[in-house]
Amino acid sequence: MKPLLPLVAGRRLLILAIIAPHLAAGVWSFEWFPFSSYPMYSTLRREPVYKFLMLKAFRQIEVNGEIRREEVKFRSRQYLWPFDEPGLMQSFAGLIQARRLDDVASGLYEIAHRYRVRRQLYPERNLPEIHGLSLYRAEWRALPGAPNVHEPDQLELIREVVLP
Amino acid sequence: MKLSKFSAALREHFDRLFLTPRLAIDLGVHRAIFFALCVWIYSGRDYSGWAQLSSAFWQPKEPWTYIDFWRPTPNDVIVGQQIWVATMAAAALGFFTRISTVFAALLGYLMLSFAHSYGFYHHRDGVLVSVMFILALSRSGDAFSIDDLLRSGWRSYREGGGILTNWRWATIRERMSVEDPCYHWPIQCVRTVWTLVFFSAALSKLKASGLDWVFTDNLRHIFLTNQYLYQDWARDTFRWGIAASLAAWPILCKVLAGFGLTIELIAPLALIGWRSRLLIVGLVGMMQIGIYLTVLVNFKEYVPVYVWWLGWSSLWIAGSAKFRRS
Repeated sequence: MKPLLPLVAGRRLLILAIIAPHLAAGVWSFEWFPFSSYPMYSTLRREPVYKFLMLKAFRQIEVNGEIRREEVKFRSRQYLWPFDEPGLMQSFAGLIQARRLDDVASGLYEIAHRYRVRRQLYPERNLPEIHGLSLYRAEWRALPGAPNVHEPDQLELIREVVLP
Repeated sequence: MKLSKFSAALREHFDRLFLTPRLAIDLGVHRAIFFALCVWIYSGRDYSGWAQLSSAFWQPKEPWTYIDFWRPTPNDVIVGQQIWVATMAAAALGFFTRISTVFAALLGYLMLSFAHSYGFYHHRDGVLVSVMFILALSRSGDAFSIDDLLRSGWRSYREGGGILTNWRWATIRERMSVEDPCYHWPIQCVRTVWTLVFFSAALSKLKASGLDWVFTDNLRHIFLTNQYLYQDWARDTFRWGIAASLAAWPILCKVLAGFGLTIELIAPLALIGWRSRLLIVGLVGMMQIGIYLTVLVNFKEYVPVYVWWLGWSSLWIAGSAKFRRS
């Protein structure tokens, strides 16, 4: 049986079929896994100002018959798996961009709930108790060493969940 | 007339770049090392956590945008990952290579795109998936493989009239003499994909920011603002000193930005000769180490791709000549 294409022409076509989508993704800036235009850090940062999302956990304590909120310091690896902190923020940013704010609230609730289950499963880790999570849009004036990382200049609440 | 001359010259260059004969052992060693490194990278990862998340986080990547009838359970992912790692190990050993490389590529594509379907996407895995598909389309098991050993055994069995005589691993020296363009184009394709990663990154920067990416304080601001990426109390475990120190030198930041962008733009020149290859691949490697030290982006997944720039048979010949001389 005669082959459809001569061997060399077939190989040329195959090589082009492999390379062309990679080149096209770069030229036309499209994302279609595994092809990408690798746009990380491509947008210009004219000011040393960082805008991103910020997650805060809190617990409610009773002081003199009054319920007060107290911020809880936590470490991401212990409560966010399989995400890490920037990964979770990136995921929330995607949901916000897609205007899926109900999913943002559900996601926050899920993260808080998973943390609570993990805390019960591993009491030896002494994880602090939390009663809820808040997601903010935050803005920092970036300084060397980031001494103000926990105190952004601007905070705007996006969604908040309180566990029952 | 001019056009046909041009197209003939283009074809000639293309064939010289991709379709000159090459030794089978080169592709075989590349396949073995590449998949062994992939086993090292991916066997320690657990993707089942993604399957535990609810649909609130679901932001599918291809091909999961089209697979809306099924979502894997954590158990499915664990089993799938085990099979994937096993096929990569088989591909590294060159065992049923045609089948194992195809399954490694398909499962890798499904597994990694699934892990990226929850809004957290990093681009480093894409290159490895591309390389797996290139290997799946090539004859990478012809040398330096268990398949080769079995084939030589079968040949010896048939030639010996049903008795296994002289059955041995085909020696490297014998394999040195088997050459064909089909062992060259996969290596060049992997190298081309590698260069296009950086070239595309440079194009993205130029399209989004122009030369301001270099000539403003952009990189200095990246160094400063990136320190805020990790806000929780785990950030104390990271080292931020280098980025903060560099940010104190605005002109140095511009020089580094210019260096980075130039290296990315000229990355495809690494394909044209061994001198440019040595220079550009070395500089890109240095750049990636620099990025890791300053903005904490880990390029571990690129290690299996860097290996493709080595010419194993040339190294072997050079090494053995030096050994003979000594």
